[in-house]
Amino acid sequence: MARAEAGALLQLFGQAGARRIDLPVLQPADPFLETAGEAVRRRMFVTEGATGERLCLRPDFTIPVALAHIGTADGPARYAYEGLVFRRGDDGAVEERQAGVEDYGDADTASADARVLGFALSACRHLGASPSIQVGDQALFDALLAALELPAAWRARLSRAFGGAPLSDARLRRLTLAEPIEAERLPAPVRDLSGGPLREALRVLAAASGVSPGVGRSAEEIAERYETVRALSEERLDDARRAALSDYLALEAPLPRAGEAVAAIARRHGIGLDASLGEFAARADALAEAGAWDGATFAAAFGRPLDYYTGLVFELGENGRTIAGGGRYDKLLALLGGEAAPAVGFTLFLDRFEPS
Amino acid sequence: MTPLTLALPSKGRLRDDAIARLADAGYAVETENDARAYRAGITGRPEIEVAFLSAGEIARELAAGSVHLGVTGEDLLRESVPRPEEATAVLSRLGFGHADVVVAVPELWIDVWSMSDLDDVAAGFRARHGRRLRVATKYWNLTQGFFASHGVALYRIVESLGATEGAPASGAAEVIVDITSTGSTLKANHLKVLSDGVILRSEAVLALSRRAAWSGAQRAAGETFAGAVNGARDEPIGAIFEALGSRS
Repeated sequence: MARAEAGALLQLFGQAGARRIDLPVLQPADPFLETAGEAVRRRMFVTEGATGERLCLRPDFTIPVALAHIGTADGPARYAYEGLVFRRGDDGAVEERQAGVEDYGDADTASADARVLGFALSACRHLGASPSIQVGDQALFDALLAALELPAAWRARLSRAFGGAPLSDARLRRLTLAEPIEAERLPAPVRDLSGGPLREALRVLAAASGVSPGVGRSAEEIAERYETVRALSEERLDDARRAALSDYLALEAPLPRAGEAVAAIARRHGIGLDASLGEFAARADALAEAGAWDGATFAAAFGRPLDYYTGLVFELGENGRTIAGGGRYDKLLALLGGEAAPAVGFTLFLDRFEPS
Repeated sequence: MTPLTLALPSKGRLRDDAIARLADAGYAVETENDARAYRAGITGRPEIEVAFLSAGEIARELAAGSVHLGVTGEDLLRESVPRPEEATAVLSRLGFGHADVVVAVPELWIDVWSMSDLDDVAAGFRARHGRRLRVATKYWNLTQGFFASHGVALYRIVESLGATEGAPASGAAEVIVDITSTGSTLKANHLKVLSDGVILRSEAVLALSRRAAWSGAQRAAGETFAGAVNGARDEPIGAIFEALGSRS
């Protein structure tokens, strides 16, 4: 990918109001580890700064752009970037050239989603690609979990598992299983206790085992989850709700018909999803206006296994390769220590484009 | 021929058990002159030179290819590089030095018994405590691989080079991944092993370095030696040594 072409892309983004932002290659390592967890550490090139602080070669742009925004800006902003990222690929690859846009602070999320997907598509077309489009929605899955009135602990697990390994029936069963806690396994002082006495007994135990006050999980935290798990261990995911989840997860439909298809599943299983489907339809309309209608597929099971993604996710592909990806991550800025704000963006994997 | 290098643990039960096993196989390590020497010979076997190193160093040197053979803990071998099979091969399991690498949490956590429970706690931890759950360990690779296989991603590893079991009480971490043999140290520190929290049942192994430079003569001597040492074999020794030939 010639730098000239990347430069032309930035001009294109500039015309659409995205300000070019330059970022250091050397970044603090902790924000990447805090957001993506240990899974990213293996792939990162980590080093030490002059005063022992942990640094890395940036493995992506989304985090650095967000950090720069938190440090300097207030209110809505739109940034464009281009340059190299560094990751240990399975194939030994180290450097990748990327470009992309981050869009913060627009409360009209349907328009922002459509705008960003529109940028991604124009950029691909500008580079000579006519990509296929796949779209998913984390928020719609979360709405389904709520509408099914699943216990909060199960909702949290299933929401977290969404977007990772496929949620087969077997996996759904495993995620909603809780083994009963046999009394003999519990420390004697807490057996058969609940409420205030349980919390007091836990505090006494903690002190007796030499734990400094305020260190680790509190007695309240432990007791709360213990009581929840005990209550849940008697329950099982019933066939009706499991069937509803399976039907939904199996859905793949052309985007213009996706809203209808989801509504049909909701009707079939007696689930109330009207409000969420209204939002889904509004965004689908916005996407249509942005020219993202034709050839776009909605796949209900498609998501990203990172806990800061909150809504739309999308991938653009050509000849079996993903050439661009993006989505909405409304939790990202707060996770990085900034003020909560809507955030949506995408990245183009420039090395994967056929030379034009 | 240049002797092949055999690395043995430099101290403790592991050293004594390794030397005894070699003696049983007819390979008597000559340590009488100076018990603290780093190098030693084997009576009547000039084709093998012994180097005494810490068990951790042995694993690293095998992975790097600077020794040909070594006796060390399987836990250390699997920890030394992310893909151990590419760098080393286990020739036999020696049946001593048994210890398990385990995930342990405070006994106080009466709601946590499995990795699935730990996943739930890790996910909710940041919201309550403002940071990710911390796991203290020296086993980076084993921990990352095991946690990933259980779908647990929302945690951070904090390096622990010694007294890992003290980390939860002192507040340095919430969870530990450590090696245990009798379980008494865990108990003394009020920690318990998760029901599905055994990452590796380790024992001392005789291992070979795939990355070392092996001459034909060294391969022959190594194969004879490995065949003489008693132990459980998962794979025929001949096949492992043959694979060396096609690489050099």
